[in-house]
Amino acid sequence: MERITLPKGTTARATPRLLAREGAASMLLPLVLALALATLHQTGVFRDVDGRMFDTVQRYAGGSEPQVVVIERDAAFEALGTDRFAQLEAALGGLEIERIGYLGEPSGRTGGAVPVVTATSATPLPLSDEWQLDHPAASTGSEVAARVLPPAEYGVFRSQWLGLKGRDGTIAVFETALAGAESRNAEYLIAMPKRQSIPVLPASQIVSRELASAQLGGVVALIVEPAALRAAFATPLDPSGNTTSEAVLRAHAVHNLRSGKAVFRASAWEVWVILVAACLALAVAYRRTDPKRLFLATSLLATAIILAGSWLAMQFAGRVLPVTALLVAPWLVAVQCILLRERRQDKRLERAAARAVQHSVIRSALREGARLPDFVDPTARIAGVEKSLLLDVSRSGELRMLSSHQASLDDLAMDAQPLAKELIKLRGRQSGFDAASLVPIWGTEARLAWIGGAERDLFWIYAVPPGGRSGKRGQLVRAVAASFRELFRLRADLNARERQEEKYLPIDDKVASAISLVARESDQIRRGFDTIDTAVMVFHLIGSPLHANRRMEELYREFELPIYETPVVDALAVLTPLDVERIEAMLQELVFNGGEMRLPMRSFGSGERILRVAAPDSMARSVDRVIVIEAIDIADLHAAADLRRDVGLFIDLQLRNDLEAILLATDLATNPRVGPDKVGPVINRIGDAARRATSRLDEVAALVRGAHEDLLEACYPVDARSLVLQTLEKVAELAEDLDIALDVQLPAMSGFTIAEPRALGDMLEAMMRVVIADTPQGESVTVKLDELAGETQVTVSGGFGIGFGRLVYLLTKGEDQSVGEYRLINRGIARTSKWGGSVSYWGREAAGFGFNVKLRRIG
Amino acid sequence: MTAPHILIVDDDEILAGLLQLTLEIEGYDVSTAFDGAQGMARLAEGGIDLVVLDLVMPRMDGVRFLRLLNEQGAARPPVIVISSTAGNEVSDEFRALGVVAIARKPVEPTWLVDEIARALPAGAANGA
Repeated sequence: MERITLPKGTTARATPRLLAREGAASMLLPLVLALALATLHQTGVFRDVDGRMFDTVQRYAGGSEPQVVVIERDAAFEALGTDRFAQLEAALGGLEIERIGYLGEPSGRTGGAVPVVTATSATPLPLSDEWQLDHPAASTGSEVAARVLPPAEYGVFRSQWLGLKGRDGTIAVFETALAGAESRNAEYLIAMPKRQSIPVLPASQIVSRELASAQLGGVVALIVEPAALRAAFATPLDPSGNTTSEAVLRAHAVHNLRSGKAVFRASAWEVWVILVAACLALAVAYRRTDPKRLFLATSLLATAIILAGSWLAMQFAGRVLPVTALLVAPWLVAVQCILLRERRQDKRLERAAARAVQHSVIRSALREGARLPDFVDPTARIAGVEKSLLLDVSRSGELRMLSSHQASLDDLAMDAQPLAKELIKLRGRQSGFDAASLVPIWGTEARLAWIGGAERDLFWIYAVPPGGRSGKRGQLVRAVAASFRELFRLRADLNARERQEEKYLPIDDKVASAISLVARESDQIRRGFDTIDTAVMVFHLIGSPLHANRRMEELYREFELPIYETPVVDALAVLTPLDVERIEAMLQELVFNGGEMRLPMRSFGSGERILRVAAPDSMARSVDRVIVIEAIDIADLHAAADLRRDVGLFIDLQLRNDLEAILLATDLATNPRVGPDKVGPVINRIGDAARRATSRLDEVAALVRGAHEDLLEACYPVDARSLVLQTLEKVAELAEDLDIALDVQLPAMSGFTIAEPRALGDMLEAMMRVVIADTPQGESVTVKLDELAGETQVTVSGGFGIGFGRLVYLLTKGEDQSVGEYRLINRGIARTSKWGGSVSYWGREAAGFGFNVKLRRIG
Repeated sequence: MTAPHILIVDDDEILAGLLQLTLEIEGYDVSTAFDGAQGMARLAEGGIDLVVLDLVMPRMDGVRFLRLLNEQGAARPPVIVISSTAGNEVSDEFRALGVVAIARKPVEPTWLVDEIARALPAGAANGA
């Protein structure tokens, strides 16, 4: 026996564990992602992008009061002689310069009052991270600092060290020393706003004391040779070209340090904390929303927040955050969350699909593939197949016959081995093939069809007999073959995980297969349900509606109940005269113990019903309990009983006539006083009477033998007089209330008229009511029944009168559009023609109106 | 002497024809009518000594026929009712309408012949 296997972990006990594991995974993965991004950040992968972002932000930032002035050792200055540096420092001292820095060696300088820093080159020591100054001896009274720059970042110089690690401690870097900042082993980024002014003055102008006293108070002076003012570096000012001079670059660095605008990169642990926090926050946000739907909006919002946060951190905290890693994080977290949720969704779908399929397949013929012939053979016979061979071919080419109908393997024109090879080639083909050459002995149109299979393939060779219906039969057989193929395919899809070659069949396909199979089964159940002639509805144990057939839907409509929104208790409270307490007690009893109860049902329309409420015993013990309610139409049962009674009476009365005729004729035929010339006609009369009796019996035989549902709308011989009298009783009260006299003209006895008594009664009642309602007080309405040869006429007339046009309008609107009594009349008119009758009407204002119903009379 | 004239009123033409033949063999003159209206018309022509009547008929049923016949007073001929719907005993109501015998179909031909002979006035009895 083949089984459908559920995936592991589908039991109720396993579910919380599974969910907990999934919850942990949804937090763990963002942590891993944060670690990965932090590591990438530390390796410098994102440095270029981070740097360019820094450049962009800083380039457009505002400037501030210059903290440094660049002084060029111009030619005029250099011509002043050996004490020119003393003159310059004296002049700068007069301008209240705070510190003086020489970027080039001030040869011949002898010292002065203002603190001086002299830049000299430095060299990294081999196999070490330490540095040493190339010329540690400084000019008199000056501090010596390292004239260095960190390597360019992808061609752009945007950073500087605060200090260098030396053998005897930290070596001051020139800009740090000139700015008076603390030297330490750290690197900062040099902000270079376009709007930041860095004044450049010729030294000769200072020496000639053209500036006012104390004009440069509080700033530092960077004294450079003309060569240092030549453009040579790509910097944040213009990252795409070497347009910045060394002097300006270093002046910006000094300005940054002195104005507190130096920006430092976030440390490794800061990067780690920031990325973890960001990734976890995003993961939590996505966990509470639908990542697939909100992925774009959330990621864009996160991007905006990250950019704003980074800007704030740069401006106010002097920190450059790992912007690139942060910007990548929302998208990666979103993708990861989506993938995780998709995987979870797939698992859930697969579990649901497997369950649905298990439910379906467990009842399916294909649950046991070995039983397939049991289904193919009867199906073939039903479809009118003349000959049939069901062959099974294994992958190894082994052929065997599973079943046959009026045929055998000897009919095949090929040996098993070559035939199997040929058949294997047809595997998976959806259309049938001409198989006349395969079974020439059949001598008729033979077809071959692959009808599916997994490890083994099934081939069906069949022949449909020629004739008028062969086309339809052929279509039917092809449909049967296609149906088998489809069932095999569904089953193969659903079991795909069991076979290596289809292990990776997408879940969507499996789910689609499951849905298709379940939907098909559901559809078949629904159709089957609809064929039940009583109104039936199934509720879940909790009282929610599961399924109703068409008749129950109509019944709910009559009671104006929303069918799939009304719980069982509410439905029963409306459908029956019982109160809610009693209904609940009854349902409790049913659900616990199973069984059924019959309840009176509120009356509506012309129906008379009882309600059967049942909880099947077998179901009551299982998990999937249901409650079934069924409205049984007692009026229908009554109608069927009336029909049988009337038909019985008709047979009795009519056969008495025929029997009388046969008796008389037999007596005459044996009477010696009857001449030979008259015996022949008399005997013929016996034949006539017998034929008439047989014909009458045939006419009503279907009604006598018919199933209950066939009889409900059947027409049959009825006593028209009784029917009219019953109808008159129904309208008598209305006529009395309106003070209308009923002029009734009926025969004392009536024969048999063909009609559907309920429909005829409803139509006549409606006709009488509309005429009575239109009749002025004190006047009369005529109801007349005439029985003519082969025809019965019922006439209802009276009233003030309705214009004929209006009457035509009211009576030709069709049953669906008309209302009230006219709806019943329209329905009756439509039905009357089915009984071989007709309805005519006439009318004129102030001259009355009426109906004439003509029906077939048969005895 | 003229044979008594019997009118058969029955919408079943086969049956009416066979009844006619049966009674003719017995020596009666027989006329047929296939509903009450035709029967009344034939009666109006005169010369009818007895009516064999069915009850369920189109146009004019047997009961209405009897009522109309009753309106003719003493001149009305006796009536024998044979019908699928009839009982086997003449009710007072039928007796008052001139019915002398009643039977539910099928009836034995001899019963009918006997009842006709009994019902006909002595002078009009079959002389055959």
